[in-house]
Amino acid sequence: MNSNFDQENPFTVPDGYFEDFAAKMASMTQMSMPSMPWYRKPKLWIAIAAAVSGVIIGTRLLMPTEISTQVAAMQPTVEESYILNQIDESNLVSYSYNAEEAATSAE
Amino acid sequence: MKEFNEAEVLAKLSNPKHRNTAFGRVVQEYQQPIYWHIRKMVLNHEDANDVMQTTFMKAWNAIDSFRGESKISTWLFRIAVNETITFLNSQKMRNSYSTDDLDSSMAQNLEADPYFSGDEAQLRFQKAILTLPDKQRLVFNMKYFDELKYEEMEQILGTSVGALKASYHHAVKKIEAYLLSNI
Repeated sequence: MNSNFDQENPFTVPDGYFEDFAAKMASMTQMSMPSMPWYRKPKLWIAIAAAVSGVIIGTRLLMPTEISTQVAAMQPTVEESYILNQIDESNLVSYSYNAEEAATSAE
Repeated sequence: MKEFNEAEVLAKLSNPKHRNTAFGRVVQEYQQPIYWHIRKMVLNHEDANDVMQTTFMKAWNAIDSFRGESKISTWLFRIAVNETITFLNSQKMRNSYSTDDLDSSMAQNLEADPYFSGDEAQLRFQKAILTLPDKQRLVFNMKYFDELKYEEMEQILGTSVGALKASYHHAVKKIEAYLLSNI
């Protein structure tokens, strides 16, 4: 095919086209800075670090509160403490035993 | 002008201070091969200008993602190929053209194009090339006019050398058949 058709370029461009294009591109790139990929944006990394720290600190702060609430719920009230102090420990044990036995015989 | 030093330009591109100047150097070095590649696909000068502008602006915006894994020219050609195919597809969609309609419309425009200086034989040759599917036309132009090596084309198009050789061979056969039947 090369013998029939040389590779001479049959297309042309307006005079000075490439010089003008290079100048136009130079002014366009002056006006717009390239957009950085997400992994190269320092602000994004700061935001991610802040979010992760927030989650960790939040978890730490919430956990003891929750546990102390549970522990507090297990503590006897003033009235319960008073009653418990009035009862002898051996009576309390036999009370528990009798209560269990009554429950078993009822079944 | 100083010879284009790829490593030096790459180093400057990664430095915000010198980035603009370095990119200007890239434009000067590659605008002509990129333009002629696009022009032979879209044929019309105005369209080629638009596609080339988009190509370089996309390259500029993605400069931070370019890590020099391929040559700058390969990277630019890859963007240009994608932009050209996108442009041709959008032309078909916008004008509700079938591929054949678009090809005949492009051939007619070529005849009236003030920036086409080819003789009768060259016009017939361009019409023959237009009968190829876009991807095959791309392969043919890259090999025949841009004189790229198959290995370079493989990197740009992501197609194996074997498939590219087969595609080029089929393209040549189709063009020859067209020319023989349209003497």
